[in-house]
This record gives sequence, C-alpha cells and structure tokens, in this order.
Amino acid sequence: MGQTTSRRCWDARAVLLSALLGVVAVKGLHHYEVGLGLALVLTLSAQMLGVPWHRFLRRSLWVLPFCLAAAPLMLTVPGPTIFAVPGFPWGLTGPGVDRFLIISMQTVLCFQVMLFANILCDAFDLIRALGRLGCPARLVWILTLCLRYLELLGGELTRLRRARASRAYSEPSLVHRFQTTGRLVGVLFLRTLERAERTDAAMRSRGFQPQEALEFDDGKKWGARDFVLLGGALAGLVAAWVW
Amino acid sequence: MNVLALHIPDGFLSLPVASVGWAVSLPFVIWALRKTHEVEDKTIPLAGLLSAFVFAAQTLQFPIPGGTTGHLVGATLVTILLGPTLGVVVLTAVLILQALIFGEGGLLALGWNVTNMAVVMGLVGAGFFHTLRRRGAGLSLSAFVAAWFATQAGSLVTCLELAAAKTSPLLVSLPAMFATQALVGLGEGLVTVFTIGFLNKARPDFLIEDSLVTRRLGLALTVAVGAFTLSPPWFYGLEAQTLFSLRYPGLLLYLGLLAGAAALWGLVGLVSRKSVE
Repeated sequence: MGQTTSRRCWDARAVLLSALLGVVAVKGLHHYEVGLGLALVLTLSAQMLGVPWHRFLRRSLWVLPFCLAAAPLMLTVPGPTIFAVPGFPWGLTGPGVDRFLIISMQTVLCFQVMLFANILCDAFDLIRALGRLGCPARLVWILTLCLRYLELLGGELTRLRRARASRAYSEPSLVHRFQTTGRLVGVLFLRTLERAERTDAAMRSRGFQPQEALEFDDGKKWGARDFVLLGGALAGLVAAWVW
Repeated sequence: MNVLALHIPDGFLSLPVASVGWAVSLPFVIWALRKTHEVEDKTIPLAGLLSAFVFAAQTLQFPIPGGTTGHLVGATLVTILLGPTLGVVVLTAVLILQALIFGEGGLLALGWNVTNMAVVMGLVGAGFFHTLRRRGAGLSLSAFVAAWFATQAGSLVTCLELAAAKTSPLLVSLPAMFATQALVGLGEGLVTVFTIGFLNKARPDFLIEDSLVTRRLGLALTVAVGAFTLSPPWFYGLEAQTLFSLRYPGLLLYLGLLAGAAALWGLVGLVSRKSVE
C-alpha cells in the first residue's frame, strides 16, 4: 500500500509492537473526539507516506459491515429510550446507541492501526519480525511460504475456473455449481501437494536445512524513528487507559 | 467482503476476553506445531503451500438462499485431509496472515479466531467425520454432517464470546447467526462433500486414516462447547435479570444441535450399507 522507500526506513519489530500497543490503546478510547482525532492523524500520516487519504479512508470503512453484529446493543442495553416504534417491544436507548457507536469507532480505529502498520512495513518484513520477536520459527517459515505462494495459487485457481467456464455451454444448475466448486478445490489441493513436493526438493537441493535456516535476524538495528514510533504508541496507550 | 464470515474484528472484544482467547488457543497451536515437527521436516513447505491453498479456496463463493453468497471456510475439509495437527497449523497460519496483512480479524481477536475456526471447527468437524465413518456412514454423508455441524459449533462459540464481551447479546445474535450459518453450513457441507468425493476417486490413498486423537479431541471439544453454553451466568458477564432469557436460547440451540446430530447418527446407522473397518 505504501511507497517502497518509506517502508524500508522502519524496523518491522517496532512497527508490529507499536501496532499492538495502538490496538490496545484504542480499546481504552471512549471519547468520540479523541477517536476522530486519532483517525485524522492516521489518515494524514498515511497521506504523507504516499497513500492518498481517500483511499486510506475507503479501505478503513471495509470493516463497517462487521459492526452490524453489535447493532442490537442499541435496543438491548437498558437506559432511557430515545426512540420507539409503537407496538414494538424494544426501543433505541441512549446508552445502547452510545455503546454501539463506541464499539464501531474502536473497530474502525483498530483496523486503521493495522492498515497503517502495513503502510510502514512490507508484509514479509512484518512476518519476519514475528520470528525476531519470539514467534516459533517453524510457524514464521510457514507464513512466509504461504504469502509467497498465495498469488501463484490464486492465479492457478483463476485459470482453472476460466478453463471450466470456457468448457460450459449453459448456465449450470445449483448442484452443478457446488459440484464444480468442490472439484476445483480438489484439483487445486492435488496441484498444491505436487507443488509442495517439488518445492521441498528444490529447497533442499539449494541447501535448505530446516534446523539451520530458521533464523530471521537481518542484523538491522533500531533507529531513532523506531523508538519515536514505539514511544508514541506507548504514550497513547497510557493516555487512553489512564486518562 | 463477506459479512457472514466468522472473523471477530479487533474492537469487538474486551481485553480480558481477548486474553482468554489467546490462553485457550495457544496450547492447541503449540501442541500442533510440536506434533508436526516430530513427524518430518518436509512439513514446512507442505504447510506453507497448503495455507496458500486454503487462502485461495476461501475466495471461492457459493450462492446461499436470500440472494447473498457465502465462502468456504475449509476448516473441516483441511482437518479431514491433513489430520488434526497439520490442519490446526495450516488454519492458524491462514488466520495470522489474515489478521496481520489482510485486515480480517485482528491482533487481539486472533486468539478467539484461531480457537473458533482452527480448533473448534477443524477438530469438531474432523471428529464427527471419523466417528460417523467408524459407525458405517458413507463418505458423503459423513463429510456433509461434519462440515455442517462444525460450522454451527464455530458460530455458536463466536456468539458466546461476543456475549461474554458484551458486544452482541445472545438473545439476538444466536438466532441471527444460526439462521445465516445454517445456510452457509449447507454450502460448506456440499463443497466439502464434492471435494472429498473427488479426492477419493482421484487419490484414494491420500485421505487421512481415522485417528483416535481426532475423535477424542472432537468429542472433547463438542462437550466443551456444551459446557461453555451451560456455564454459570457470571461467566458471560450478564446481569441477573436478563440472564435467564439470554441463556435459554443458547441452551435450547445447543441441545437442538445435539439432538439433530444424534438423530442423524441414528439415521446413518439405518441407511448405511457398508461399514468401514
């Protein structure tokens, strides 16, 4: 999402830890104006790092449909009713609306924090940072390989679907669609297995030893900006939870 | 974006509830990682590519009644095909990537998302599948029932977690979730059936053998979900006066699911023609 040059400047560990602190801090926010201010800061920072503000905002609103799961709180949290439909047992309550809006705000802000982390760092750097922060190396390797092959397998699936669609003469029935989907998944699974065997052989022939190669330390040291980022996130956390 | 997905986003769970999720999921993930490590080193590329496979397969959408679409979660399918340990590892990797890079779920909610989709859905589904097969059920029926029931177990646990975090009251979320996930489960079940049917023809050697661990874990998790549903009121953090009305649908739903599963089980015994040794 962000520009490559800006992504190289940050230590992914600092970004990851700051994101975690940021998410925890957001959970302590209960004032709309502070939430709005944080959203503004993140959006402007994204703009400064090369991501257009409207794109950042649009992307961060993707999470809004999930907030609907909390919408019933507007009706079920006890409190003075601010709106009621005659004949309907429940009405909108002030505390209920407040609680729903707070949860929605926190959800969008948490999402924005993670989006911002992805602007500051490359996805692979974030995964490697997990390894440097103590996540089991085996899991980090699996994540890295997953990300590397994601596009390839996604493309393979698209090709399979196109091939099937081009062989079809008429609109398939519902059962046939499920059958086709199941077979597609099966074919993709078999191809993935074969590819995994080839990949394993290729990696070993190039000297990959699982026990020796599980190191993610690139020797990178934290710079001043990493400390500033982490300090900012920590200050935000303290401010959100203490004040 | 599919609003029928089971991913809980950050912001929905309070810190204590999210911490419990991490505490519940971590032992399973560590166990699965250790077990796969004991088997062979080849599992790293295999698990990596299979995680990408699950990711790709989850982009496949199927129509569900009401004009919307659902997508394959694949938890039951993956755990049936790969076994409980590698299945949990692969699904966990997918969920971590989704939380970290693709914005589905979140860092705090990751613990519960792993518990719901990798552990509960995966192991309950695989447990049901192998138990039904041992009882003599056909491949398709076992796969369908396992996938459908696992979807319901996952959504039930999700509802309970959201209720514990006071984000979505059980009284509303359970019927809403059950209504949608019952339909999504049909799609999940059908895709699982056709995938396993295809693989059984193409590579009959590949289907993972029945495993006592899977069955026991599946059974234990099914009982745990039930115990969670029946747990004391304070566990959900509900107020005393609303408690009874909120707990009641959860209890009924779970008993209904169990009764449905038992009925299917009996039906399977009646109609099955071949038994699996």
